[in-house]
Amino acid sequence: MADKKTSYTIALLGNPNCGKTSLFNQLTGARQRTGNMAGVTVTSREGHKKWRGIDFHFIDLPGIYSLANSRVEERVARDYLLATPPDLILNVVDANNLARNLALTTQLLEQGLPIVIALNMLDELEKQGGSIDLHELSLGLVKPLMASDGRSNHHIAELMDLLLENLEQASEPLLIAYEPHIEWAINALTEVGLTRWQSIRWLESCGDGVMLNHDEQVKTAQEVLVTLANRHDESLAEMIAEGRYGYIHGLLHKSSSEHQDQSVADHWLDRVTLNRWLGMPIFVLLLWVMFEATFTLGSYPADWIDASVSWVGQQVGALMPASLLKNLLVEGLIAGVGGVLVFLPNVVLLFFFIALLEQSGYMARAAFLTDNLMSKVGLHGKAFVPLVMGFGCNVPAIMSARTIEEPRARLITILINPFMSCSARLPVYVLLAGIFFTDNAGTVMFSLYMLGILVAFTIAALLARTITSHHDETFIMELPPWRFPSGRSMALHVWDKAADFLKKIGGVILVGSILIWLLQSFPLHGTPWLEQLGRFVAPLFAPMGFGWQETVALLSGFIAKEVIAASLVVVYQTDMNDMAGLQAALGSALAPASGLALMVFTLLYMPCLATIATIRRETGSWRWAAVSIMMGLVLAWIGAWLVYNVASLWI
Amino acid sequence: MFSMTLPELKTRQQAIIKTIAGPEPLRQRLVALGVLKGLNISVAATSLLGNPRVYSIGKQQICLRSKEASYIEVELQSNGG
Amino acid sequence: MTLFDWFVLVAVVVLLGIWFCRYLYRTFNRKCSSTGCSNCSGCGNAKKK
Repeated sequence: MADKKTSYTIALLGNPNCGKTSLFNQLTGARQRTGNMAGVTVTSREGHKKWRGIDFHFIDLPGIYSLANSRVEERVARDYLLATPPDLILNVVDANNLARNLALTTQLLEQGLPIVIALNMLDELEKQGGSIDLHELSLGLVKPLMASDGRSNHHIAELMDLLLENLEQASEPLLIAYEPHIEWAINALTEVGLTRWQSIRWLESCGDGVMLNHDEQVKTAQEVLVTLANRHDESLAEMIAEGRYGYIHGLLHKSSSEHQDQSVADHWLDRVTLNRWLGMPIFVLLLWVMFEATFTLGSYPADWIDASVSWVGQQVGALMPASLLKNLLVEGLIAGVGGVLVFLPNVVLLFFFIALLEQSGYMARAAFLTDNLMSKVGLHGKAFVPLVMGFGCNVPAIMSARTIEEPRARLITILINPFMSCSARLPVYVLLAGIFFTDNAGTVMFSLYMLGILVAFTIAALLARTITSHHDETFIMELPPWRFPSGRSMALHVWDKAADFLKKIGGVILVGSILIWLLQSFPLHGTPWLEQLGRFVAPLFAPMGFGWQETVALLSGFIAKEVIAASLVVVYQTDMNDMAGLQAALGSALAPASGLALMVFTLLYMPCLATIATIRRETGSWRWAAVSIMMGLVLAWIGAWLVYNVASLWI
Repeated sequence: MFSMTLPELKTRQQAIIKTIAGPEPLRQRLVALGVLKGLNISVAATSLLGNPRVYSIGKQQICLRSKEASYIEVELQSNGG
Repeated sequence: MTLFDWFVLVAVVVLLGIWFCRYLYRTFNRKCSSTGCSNCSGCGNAKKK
């Protein structure tokens, strides 16, 4: 034995949606995004924990069903295990679907990898009257096993100790007896130098999972495939799975009892939400309620923040001697930052509702409801997750499109993502809708989001006709069970979002406000630079009834969309240092139709800098980033112009 | 005993999976998800236009489009309900 | 404009310049920007302290 190591690598591996990321967060104190649907984790992530003097290095791998499949997530996990074998694997297993989860476990065991098993969601199973004899199961698998729960952390110490004990785990490969022809094939392959697990993996994946080294192996392998294909109708994957499940059922027979049905409440929920006729209306209604609540509930705390900000502004104004610095602080910094800070409650509420839909398991159902529509416009079913994430921030949403392998579907998903209205645009909507459509603000916001989706789908349909498809990717999705979102993870999630928003205010929005103030204040005599710039570009926007102020605000939104709200506040400097003043000024300067057009323009026009950078990186070329910018600008102009003219007739 | 493909299965009918055909990646995927020969399967939900549908297999609910589902042949068990 | 005003003005312009260069650099050269998002799964530096 070498000297005692002080640093060990532990990989978390398990089926999708079995709670790996929750457990990872518990173990490392990280706050990675979780959700009750498959595929939230796309690439692997790392975290550290020091425990009893030993450095634990945790890797959270994407959820996979099998090591023998060849999808992106599976390849990430498989390549990781081969290229940099971890010291120990923490195999996370969902107690509610034990047999299928253990199928992956047996693949690990056959490979002879050192593992510790964490049994998640045992409480859910027990609530439904099932039970698992942990001791018996552990004996059967000859591996340490313990119950865990990603939602509370009282067992983490115990789990860490268990990991610590197993750092030098000696492991013998598991031997499962397969059907005689499969055994014959395994023998043939082991004779040309493959190990048993490599042979099995090779057969299971029909030659994809394992690299063959020399011609003799390739020849033998091909012969084996032909022989087996002649003897059996079933695929090799099926025959091997039968062997696996045979072994697992033998194991579970002794150690578990479970009900095979959904619980009554779940069944009822599915009957309603997935109902053929009610499903879609309920989905739309839920979204409407979400935006209505985001606006109405958010306005109360927003008023308090507004009052505090204007109080601070007045105090600073009264206490400081007149100087440029004072103007900078009061008219630039406090006004601009405060103007966006006011929308913190709305942003937090929106994220709360989205998290609620995700964690309860409703989002996966919504994906099912909209799948038909999505496939009609050339979108892959897997595009749903990136599109929904786009409501939060387009940057991670575009990155999560990596799960889509078919290049055309992935490209379309990336390019239409900016039309999914991200949370940065919310402040602009709340501000303008509150001024011009006070009574129907929620409905107006809902319509804007719907318009965004509509535009996204239309563009997707057009792109699908112009770009050629490589191949069809199959869409098979597992619906997760309904789960009551845990208060703790919801609170963490919302807190994180609030912190992000505040960080962004302290960064790009603060700097943006100062820049706008600077351009607004100089030269000291004559027309300010900002106004000159605004008036120069304004003719472009005149057909929508925008003044130079709105023009400048839109230009500043290139940096980040929240800056639009900040700019409006700074540009419409009013004596009253609060939102009421801005509302009055904007309300008298703009016609309601222009206000609506401004919202539509904000929704559709070019993505923010961070998103452009992401598009370039993910598509690998500036070309698509440029396409995205141009597409956005053209659509925004046409859309805003149409909306302005149509709305002028009505309002 | 009556054999049919999965999309032909009607709501409230129970069936047993007989064979899984189709391209190799699809078969591997289904197997990995636990869709195996001999298991009970029924329709859990149908979307507005009838495609895709959700099937329940034991406690699992799996959403399949007709195209993929048509590779799965099932045997009708009962017509009850 | 007093001397103090000039001082403030120059400081603000310089700081803004530096900040924007840094922001642009980070946005286009890193896997993810510190301000653009936080929950992205693209890299480890998102939430790592």
